[in-house]
Amino acid sequence: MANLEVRNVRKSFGDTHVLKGISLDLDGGEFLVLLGPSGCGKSTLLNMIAGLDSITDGEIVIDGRVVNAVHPKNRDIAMVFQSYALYPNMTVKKNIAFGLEMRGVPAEERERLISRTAELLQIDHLLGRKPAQLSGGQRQRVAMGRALVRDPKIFLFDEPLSNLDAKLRVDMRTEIKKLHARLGTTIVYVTHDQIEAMTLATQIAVMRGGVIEQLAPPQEVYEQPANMYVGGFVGSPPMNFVPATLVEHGNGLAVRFACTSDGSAGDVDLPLADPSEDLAPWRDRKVIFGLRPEALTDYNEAEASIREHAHAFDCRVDVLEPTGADTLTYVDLGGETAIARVNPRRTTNPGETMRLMADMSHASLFDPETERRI
Amino acid sequence: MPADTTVTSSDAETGVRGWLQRHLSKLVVAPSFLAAVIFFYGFILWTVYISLTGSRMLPDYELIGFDNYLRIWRLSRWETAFDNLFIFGVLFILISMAVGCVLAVLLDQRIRAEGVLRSIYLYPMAISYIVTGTAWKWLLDPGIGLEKAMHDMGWTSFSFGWINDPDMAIYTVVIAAVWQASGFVMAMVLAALRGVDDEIIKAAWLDGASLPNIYRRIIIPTIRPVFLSAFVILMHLAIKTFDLVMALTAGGPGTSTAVPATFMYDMAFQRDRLDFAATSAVMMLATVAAIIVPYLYSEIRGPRRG
Ligand SMILES: Nc1ncnc2c1ncn2[C@@H]1O[C@H](COP(=O)(O)OP(=O)(O)O)[C@@H](O)[C@H]1O
Ligand SMILES: [Mg+2]
Repeated sequence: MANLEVRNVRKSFGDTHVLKGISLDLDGGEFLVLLGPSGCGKSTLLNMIAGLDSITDGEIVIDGRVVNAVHPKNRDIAMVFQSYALYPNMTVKKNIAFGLEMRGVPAEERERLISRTAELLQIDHLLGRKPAQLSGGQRQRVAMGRALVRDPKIFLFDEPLSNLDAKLRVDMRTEIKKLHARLGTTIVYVTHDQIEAMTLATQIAVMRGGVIEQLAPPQEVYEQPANMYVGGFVGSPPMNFVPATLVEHGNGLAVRFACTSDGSAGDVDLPLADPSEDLAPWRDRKVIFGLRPEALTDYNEAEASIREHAHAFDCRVDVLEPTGADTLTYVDLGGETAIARVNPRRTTNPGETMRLMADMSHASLFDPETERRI
Repeated sequence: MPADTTVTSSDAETGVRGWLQRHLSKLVVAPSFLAAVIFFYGFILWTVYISLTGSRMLPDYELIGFDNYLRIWRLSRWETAFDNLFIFGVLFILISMAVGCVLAVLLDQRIRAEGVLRSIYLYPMAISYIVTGTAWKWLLDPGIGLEKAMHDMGWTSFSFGWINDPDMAIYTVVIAAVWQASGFVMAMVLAALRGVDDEIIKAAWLDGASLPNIYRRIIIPTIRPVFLSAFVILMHLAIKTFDLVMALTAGGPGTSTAVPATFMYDMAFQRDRLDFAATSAVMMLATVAAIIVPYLYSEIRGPRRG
């Protein structure tokens, strides 16, 4: 267990600035997921933490010691690569043993560590094989074994599951989570898959174009995205963004947006759950009203009466997309398409009007100019 | 009905046109296949046959058994040719491989102007052996080449006359051949080095391996098939060497740089000994086959490398 601190780290390749000032602070035992689209600099950051890439500016600190000039082998870090990067000329056993051998671990000790790791990952029966004779999932396990066997201070994972098929990916995800619970080692894990990030992380850093857009626990990233980009990247389907105006409503505030129902266009006002003081300057101004699809559901009297901030309104249905558990219902709110999660037994045909319910306790408001959360 | 139309058209395809369509590819390949069978394999068999006869200037089809294969070893010229092939082959292969590997490892450090350097190293391979031989003949000629250049520059004690020295002339053939082939080895090895996944090398760094260890334990074993391919190609080039020697030294001074291929040529066209020529040709073929057949077999039948 080691804590990891990244202080305002930058990376440039000539004139291309790949990382533009990354800072994060991670306690020992945390599971940080770097989440972002490909090309945003996730691997570059990971390579710099590992010491495989030089740092243009800034500091990387492990357990209070600046490691910028420390050779990768002396950082006590292990990494699992996207391509698995197994040594093709060595058997599974030699692959796992190589790091121990290079570090001068005696032979008997090596044997013991290898068999313990192989047991943990259930790869005992593969020890004599070459990487070419393994399936994708088995290679993945061996790559993890090679990292685990050294019992390093920090694990780095670079998109370790992206080459596996969907079913195996879900299984391995669970296993990585179990391993982390069991070993408690600090992990930095790169992925572009937001579901992986949500399920594994204790902290998520959402990255875009070489900067961290938000660094927070998964639930916070999901419920209170720092900006529209994060809201749109995390969650499937993504957050709905409704162009709206903030208006006075009783002694509070409400979002007002256009919505067609029963063949006539009209405005809908939804009162905010906590119209705090900070929102006062925004009155009568344009905002973006963000609402997760699961907070926009079919109207249900029983539930509406329990949930204090649930408000009903009528809206014309455009498209239906059944997914099994819910039917995704596309509606037009304020000129933008929004998605509601509707109980499949209570759907309405496209073109007809249906009564929807918005849970305003999950509402987010964004500045239309900066796209930041208000 | 549409179904009827289909039946009629498939009927037509059973006719001459249909037959042609099905067999056209075979017909097109047949002439070159036939030529290959006659001119390669037919003449190989003919040469083997001649080597078992007592032919002189013209073929004589009376078999005399394997006598030629014993008698050829009593010829001092064959012995020279054989020794030269051994010296030349070993040095040529070892030095070309070593120089090629060093160049490849150096170029692999992602230096500037790599593209230009790579082409420069590779160009000699594109030149015919006759040109290489002629160019090196001039370069090594004491009267007009390197030695004269050094003398003109004021280093009058410089002397480099290997090409006229019966004991050393074979090494000039090695120099010219290495110059020609090491760029090719470099290209093969460099391609293989580039084929090694970057992440594998990163993983080795993290595993605590030093650079020599990474090359020795991971990269070189990974690209070993390339060394084998390069070895086989150089080996058969060495055994076939003919034009380079003809252009550079013409087998001389005397017969000091004779190799099996020049021996064969001399016997067939100058000494009127078709039997010895055929015998040496068969022995060269057997040597090449002894190397290439197992190689091809292991390439085709061997386990797939993944
Ligand atoms: N050696 C390099 N030279 C120039 N640009 C690079 C180099 N390595 C990476 N990049 C650029 O840096 C950006 C981030 O790369 P990377 O960290 O691999 O992204 P990610 O892992 O998030 O997909 C990419 O746009 C890539 O083109
Ligand atoms: Mg990447």
